[in-house]
Amino acid sequence: MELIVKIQSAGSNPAYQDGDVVQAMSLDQIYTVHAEMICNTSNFGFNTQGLRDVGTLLEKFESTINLYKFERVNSNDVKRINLDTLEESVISRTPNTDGEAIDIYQYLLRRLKSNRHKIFGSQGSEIWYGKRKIYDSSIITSVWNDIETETTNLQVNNRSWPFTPREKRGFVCINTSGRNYTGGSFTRVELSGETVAGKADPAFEDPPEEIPEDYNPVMLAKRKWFVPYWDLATELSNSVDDLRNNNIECDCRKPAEEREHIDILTYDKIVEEIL
Amino acid sequence: MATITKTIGTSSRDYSTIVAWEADLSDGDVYSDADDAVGVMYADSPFTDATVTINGGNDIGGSSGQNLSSITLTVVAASRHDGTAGSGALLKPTTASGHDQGVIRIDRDDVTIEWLDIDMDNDDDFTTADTRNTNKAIVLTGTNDNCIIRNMLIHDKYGNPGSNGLFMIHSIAAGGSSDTISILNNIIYNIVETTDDTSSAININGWQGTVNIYNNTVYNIESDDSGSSKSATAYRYNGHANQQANVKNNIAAKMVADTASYKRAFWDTGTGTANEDYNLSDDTISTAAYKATGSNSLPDQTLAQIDFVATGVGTEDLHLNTSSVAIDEGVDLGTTNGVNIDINQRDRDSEGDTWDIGAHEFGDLVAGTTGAAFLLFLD
Repeated sequence: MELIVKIQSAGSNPAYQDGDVVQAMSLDQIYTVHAEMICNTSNFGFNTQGLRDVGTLLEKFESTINLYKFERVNSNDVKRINLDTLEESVISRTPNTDGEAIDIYQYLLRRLKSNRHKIFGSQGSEIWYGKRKIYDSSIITSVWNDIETETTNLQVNNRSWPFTPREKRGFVCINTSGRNYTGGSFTRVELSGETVAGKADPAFEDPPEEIPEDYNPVMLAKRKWFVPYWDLATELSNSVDDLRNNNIECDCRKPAEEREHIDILTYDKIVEEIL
Repeated sequence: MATITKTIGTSSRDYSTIVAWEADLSDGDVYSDADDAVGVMYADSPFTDATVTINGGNDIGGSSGQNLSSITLTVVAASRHDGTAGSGALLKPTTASGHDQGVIRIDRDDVTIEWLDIDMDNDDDFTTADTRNTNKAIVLTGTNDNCIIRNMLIHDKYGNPGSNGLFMIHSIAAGGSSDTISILNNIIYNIVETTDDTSSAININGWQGTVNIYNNTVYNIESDDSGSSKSATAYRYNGHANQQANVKNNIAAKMVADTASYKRAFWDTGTGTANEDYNLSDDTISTAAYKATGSNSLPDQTLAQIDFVATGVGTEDLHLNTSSVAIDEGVDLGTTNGVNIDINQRDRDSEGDTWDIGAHEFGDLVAGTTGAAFLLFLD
C-alpha cells in the first residue's frame, strides 16, 4: 500500500490537517493504473479502414475488462455476447422485448469520429466492447499476462504509484505493509481492500437512526487517519525540514523488505482522541 | 488574481489523482487570493477516487480571508467523452464512497464540474445488485452559490446501497435565497434501485435559490416499491418557498416504478416558482402532474419517437437519432454558463442551431443511410 500525506493544514476542520492521509493506493490499484496506461488507445494505431486491428493487446485488454462483446452481424443487427456466461442476444433497429434497440450505422458513425475510439475489425464486421468491470485479482492477472506477452513491460517493474514531482514536493509519499507473525519473526504482506480504502476515509458524525432523504452528513474531519511524519524522520528516511520544503522532492517509499508496518505510520484520530 | 491551471492524470501530469489536486487548493505556494483554480483531467487511466470532497481553496497559505475565486474541474478537450460510457476521462470508484456522501461532494461556492464520465457501478455487471453503500454521484451540500454541473455522463447504478435510495445529482441543503445552481447538458441513465427505495437523476428540491435545469437527458430510472411508495424520478425541484426553478429543454424517458403514479419525469413539488417548458417526457408517465408541462413541451412520446441511437445494455448511446421528435423543439437559452455547449462540444449558439431538447444537438453529424460505407472523421 502506498499513501500520499498532506503537509500543512489547509485551515480548521473540516479542511485538511497537517499529516492527513490524502489517499491510499493498494498494489492492485497500482498494477491497474499501469496496465491502463500501457493499454491506452493513444498507444495503438488504426488499420487501413480506420478501425483497430483485432488480436492486438488493445483488443485483448478490452475483452478482459468489459462484460459484453458486440459484433456487427449485418446492416441492422448487432450480436451481444456476455463474456462471463457466453449468453448471446441480438439488438437491432427494432426494439427487442426489453426495449433495447440500436441504429448501428449512427452508432458507429459517432464512435469513429473520435481518434480514441475502440472499434475493432473491418467495415461491416465491426467489434466493440462495453460495460466495464471492476478490477479483481483475476482480471489483473489476465491483463498483465497479455501485457507481458505482447510487450516488454513486466508487472514486477510496475509496483509503484506514479506520483508526480509536485506530489513529491508538496506531500509525503510513503509505502507501508502489514505483517504476518510466526513466533517472534514476521514476514511483510501487502495490504488490500477496505484496510487500504479506509485510510483515506473522512470522519463523519454518526447518522441518526432514521435517515431522512435529504440527510446531510456532518463532516468532522476531512480525513480520519493521519501520519505524524514530524515524528517519523528515521522511519521515513527524510528530515521534517526537507519534507516541508516545497522545493525539495522527497520520495519516502522503500523496497518491500524495508517497509514500515502500517501501525507505525498511521493513526486513527478518534482513537488518539484528536477528534 | 490569475487562472492557475493544473493537469491531473497518471502520465506525467501535475497531480496523479483528483483528490491530490483538491488537497493542494489552499497551498500558498500554488495559489493566491482571488485566483481561479482549474484542474484539467486527462484520460491516461480511469480515476478511482471513492469520494472527492471539494471544500478547499480557503485561507490560502494559512491567511484568513484569502480565498480562491472559483474552482473548475474539467477534462482536456481530447479526453472528453463522446456521450457514451468509457469514451473519455472516467471516474469509476474502486471502493465505496459512503452512504449519502457522494462520489463528488461540493461544499463551497463557485465550483464547476464538467465533462467527466462517472460510472457508478460497483460490480461487474448490470444484472447483479451491488452491495456497496454508494448512492449519490454529485452532492451539493448547501454552500453552493454559482455551482455548475455540466456536460457530465453519469450512469449504471444497480443495487440497494442502504437507508436512502439513489440520487445522481442531489442538493441536500437550502443554500441562500440569492444563490444559483445550474445543471446543464448532462446525460444520466441506468439508475436502478433494487430494494424498496427511491431512485432519481436530478433532485434539487430543497434549494431555496435559483435552479437552472437545462438541456439534460435522463433515461431508465427505476425505483423498487415493496409495500410502500417509492418514486422513480428524473427531475425533482421547487420544494422551497424561495426557489425559482427554471426547467427547460430536458428529456425524461423510461421511468420504472411498481406504482404508476410514482413514475415521475418532472416532479414540481409546487412550493416556490417553477418556469417549465420545452421539455419532453415519454409514455411511461401516466400521471399528468409528472409529465412534461408547458405549451411547448412534448409529453407522452414513445421511445421510438424519441429515437435514441442505442439503448442496448452495455452499448447505450443517448444521442438523438435522425427521426427524433426532440430535434428543433427546444428553446434558445443563450450562452450563460455554457448552456449552449452540447454533450459533443457543439456550440449551438455559434452554429446557429435551432435548439433540440436534451443534451445532444443533432446537427453535429449529417444523417446517413443505414448500411452505407462509413466516413472517418479523425480529430
